[in-house]
Amino acid sequence: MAYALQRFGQMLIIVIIALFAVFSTQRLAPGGPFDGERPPPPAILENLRAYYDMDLSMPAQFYAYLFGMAGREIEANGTAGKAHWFVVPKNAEITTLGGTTDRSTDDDLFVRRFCPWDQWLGQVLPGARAHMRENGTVFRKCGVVRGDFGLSMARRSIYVNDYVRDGLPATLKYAIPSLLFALLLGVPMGFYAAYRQNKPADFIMITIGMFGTVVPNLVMAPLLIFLFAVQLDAFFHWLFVETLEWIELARRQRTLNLIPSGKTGGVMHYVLPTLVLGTGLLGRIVRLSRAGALEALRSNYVRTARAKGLPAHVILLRHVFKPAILPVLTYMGPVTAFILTGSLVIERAFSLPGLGRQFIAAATDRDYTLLMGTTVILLLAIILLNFIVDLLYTWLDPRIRRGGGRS
Amino acid sequence: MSLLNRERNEEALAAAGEVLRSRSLTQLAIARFLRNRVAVGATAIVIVMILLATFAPIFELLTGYEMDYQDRNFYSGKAPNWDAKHYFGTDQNGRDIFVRTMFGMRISMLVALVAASVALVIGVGYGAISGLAGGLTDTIMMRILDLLISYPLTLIAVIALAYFGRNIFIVFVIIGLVEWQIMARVIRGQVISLRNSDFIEAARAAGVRPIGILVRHIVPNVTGVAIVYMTLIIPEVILVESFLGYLGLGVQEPNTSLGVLISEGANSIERKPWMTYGPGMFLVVLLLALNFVGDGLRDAFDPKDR
Amino acid sequence: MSAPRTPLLSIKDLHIEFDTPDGTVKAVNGINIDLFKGEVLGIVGESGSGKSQSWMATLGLLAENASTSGAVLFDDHNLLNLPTRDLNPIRGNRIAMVFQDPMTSLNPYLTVETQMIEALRIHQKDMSKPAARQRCIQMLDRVAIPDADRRLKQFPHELSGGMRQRVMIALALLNDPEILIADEPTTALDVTIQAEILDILLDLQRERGMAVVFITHDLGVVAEICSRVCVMYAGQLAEVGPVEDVFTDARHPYTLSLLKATPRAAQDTTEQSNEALYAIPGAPPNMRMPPQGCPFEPRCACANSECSQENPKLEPLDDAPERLKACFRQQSSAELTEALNHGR
Repeated sequence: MAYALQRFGQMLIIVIIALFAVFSTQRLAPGGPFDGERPPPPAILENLRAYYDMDLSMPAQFYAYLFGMAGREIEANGTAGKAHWFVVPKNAEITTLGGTTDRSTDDDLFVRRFCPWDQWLGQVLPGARAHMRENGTVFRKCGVVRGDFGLSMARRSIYVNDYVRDGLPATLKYAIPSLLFALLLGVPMGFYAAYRQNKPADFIMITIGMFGTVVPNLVMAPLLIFLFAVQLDAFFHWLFVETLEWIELARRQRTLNLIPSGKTGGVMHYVLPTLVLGTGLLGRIVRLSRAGALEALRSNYVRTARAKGLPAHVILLRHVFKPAILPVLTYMGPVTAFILTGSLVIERAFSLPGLGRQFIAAATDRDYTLLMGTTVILLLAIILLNFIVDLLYTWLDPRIRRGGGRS
Repeated sequence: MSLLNRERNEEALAAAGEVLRSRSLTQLAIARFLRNRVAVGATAIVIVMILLATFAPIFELLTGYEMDYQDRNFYSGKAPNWDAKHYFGTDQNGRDIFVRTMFGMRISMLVALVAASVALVIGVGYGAISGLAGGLTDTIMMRILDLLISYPLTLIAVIALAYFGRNIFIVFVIIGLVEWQIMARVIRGQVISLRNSDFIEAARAAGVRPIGILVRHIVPNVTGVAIVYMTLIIPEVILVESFLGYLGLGVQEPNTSLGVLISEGANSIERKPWMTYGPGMFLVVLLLALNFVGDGLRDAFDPKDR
Repeated sequence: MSAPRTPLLSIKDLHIEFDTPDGTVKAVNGINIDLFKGEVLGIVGESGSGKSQSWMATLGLLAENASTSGAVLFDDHNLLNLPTRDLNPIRGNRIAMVFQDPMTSLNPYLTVETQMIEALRIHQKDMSKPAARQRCIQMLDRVAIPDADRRLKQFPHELSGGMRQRVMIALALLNDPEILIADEPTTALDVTIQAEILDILLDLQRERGMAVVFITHDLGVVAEICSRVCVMYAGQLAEVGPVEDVFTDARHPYTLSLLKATPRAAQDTTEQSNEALYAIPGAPPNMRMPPQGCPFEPRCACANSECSQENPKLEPLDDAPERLKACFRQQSSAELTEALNHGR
């Protein structure tokens, strides 16, 4: 547990560094989200940049992004201070969300400048003053740490959170099944290949492993689309359309169609993406679990187990399983990376509305906030899975459990 | 003939009860590699593909790289047609897919070579520093590497390419930056085992400066391993390049790469599947062959890990 | 000693070959060994002489790339071609084995308890878990492991090397085997612990009357605990006989060289104090291409042309039929010693 937590802490540090790296490079890189074909007038541009905190220094911007606070001086009468949230002194004039002008009655009032076009929109937050008095700090309502990714920069009326809420399930719908597919099929296949080393079964498994590793997603996807969607569709048409009308009916109702079309797809729309991603993973997992099992099978302790007279299945399950599964577990980190990278290809090939698509869109549109949002989600997925892997590791390997680290 | 003599020599030595250490490790490794029929076959395929890519301009003479002007309407977006010498068909602009595939392979191989070299330099540098420094530096550097391997650096490459333009040299460098970690780890292991070896100890005792040790003893001994692992990196690099090309972030028109071609084909897979067949087949065969060559080389140099 | 005793286990013309990427290694070339009830048989030889492999073969524990011919007869079965299903009831139950490296021979991922209980319950199916546990504790007590109850719950990495080897011995003896094969059980241990382990092993042997095969390269240990000894060289038996006879009156030049190459702390001060330790010239033959004649011939001080032509067979000595040797030279031990010293 201590080991896993320690690793988690390290990964968290890396995540923050990685986030800062992405954050600063995208802002320092030439070009920006607001220079399209018809750039806005300089005054509006300045406001836009202020609204997104882009006029601050890089560390301050990052701080504001994480904690939702720009960390500036609060100026008298609420005339300046270009931040998401800030404290307005007593009797300052503000425009409320309703559009009417108001004067602050409390000494602490929270205002959110909601619209970039030089309109000051505010919202009174009850309890803010009490909170400030108690904690000596400002009440923070937004920022990544509070789960608020801010507004998209390319489409300024949409919150990044909404993108994520749409994209994440779409990605998980094929990512998790493909991982399960690869693990549940690949590990037994690898073990069996190791057990039957140099026999035909082993050769078949190695070949499957090789092809899974070598045929890239971007070849597999169009191939499967062509085979299943185009050819199979034609085949079904030829086979059934004249004789069995209900099949055609079902096909028209998209229950037999394996290609996702439209935003909300049924289960069938995720079969091919799962297969494409799954076979790539399967190949890698077969190779790893085979190598792990082979090493364990050649070990001295398996020789001892054989000398005890244990039957093969007991040796495989009790003596070989744990050490052989460890390399597969270690590989789970890169597997997450593989899935995330693969999601870019798969979502493009199958027109799925997942995170990968949003990631590319964000990168090409320079949508800083959307890119940061998807990056945060991807990094969180990685450290979460790595944390689970480390927990499993500690559970599996007694040498880590009782002190010491992974060698 | 000389091989026969060598065998006879071996027999004589064995009869004398001598332990056989007459051949150098490299010679042994080459002999082991040559015995691996799959690896040798794969090497032949790779060589053929390198030749095809090198002489791609010759195929251009066959049908022309630009659209086929003989009868544009007839030859644009048509299925493979042997009479018209469009063996893989043509794309929607009437360009011959086979010629395009050859040119794409050319770029893919160029990227592979340059990016793998970038990865080699970074990996060897990082691994050597980590291994030579030892102690806390080594621990920290390895921890960082450990964590980096879990992160999809390819995604960073996507961001970087989207932001810093799609110049072909930027593509080279960025892919190289993605694929160096395994190399670094292997080199570090090699350097550590070398550092603890007697002849380095002797050199150090004789007062050779660290730089001298690095240049004269460590580098020559690490080169073999580095080259073996470079052959394992090359298919990875080609994969990353085709991935970026598929996403439209790789090389730009009029250049093309296998990934770009597959991407173009995938867009019209329902009506023009042949646009994907050729480049896809070449990509898969190339990756497969390179993998076999790399595995064969690794097995030959490091037989215990088979 | 009645003449025609029936052996408990007998190895008949055993050959073992390993198929490696660099050629076929002929590790064992036609050995014959009889093992009798209640004896402690020492197997001595250099590393690579095939001494371990020949006994691994009896339990079918050879690596995947090995192929065997010949026979290992035990209880009317030929263990070499017995399918694993029929071999398993014998393994660990009637013939048990203790391995050389206690650090890696126990599974690091399982507790001592799991590894001991499974060995018991696989052969005694009706034994309950608590009963099996009780038996394990008894056995650990017997091999002088204090606090056995706590030790059972631990993982191998929490035990010291000597402790692990004692666990291995306890593990091997759980099912009261008729034969215990101990493959260099003390090589990896400190000298003091080595003596303890040997004592425990001998005690248990006397107590149960089982046959012990003791594989080692340490002639001192053999002299101490074995009743009979087989000297192996390059996959063949060089000399076989009662320990005292072989060690005091060695008839094979290899045995003699081996004895002279062994430091003897007690005797060094008296007889050989001035004499440097003998070193056998040359190295063992390459087992990918074993020589056609006697494998020891290139290193032998007494060899002549006959030795390089033909491989001598293992035959009984004229004056002592219970002793066997594989050598054409029919000199006495003294004459051979003379030749050795002269040859230097």
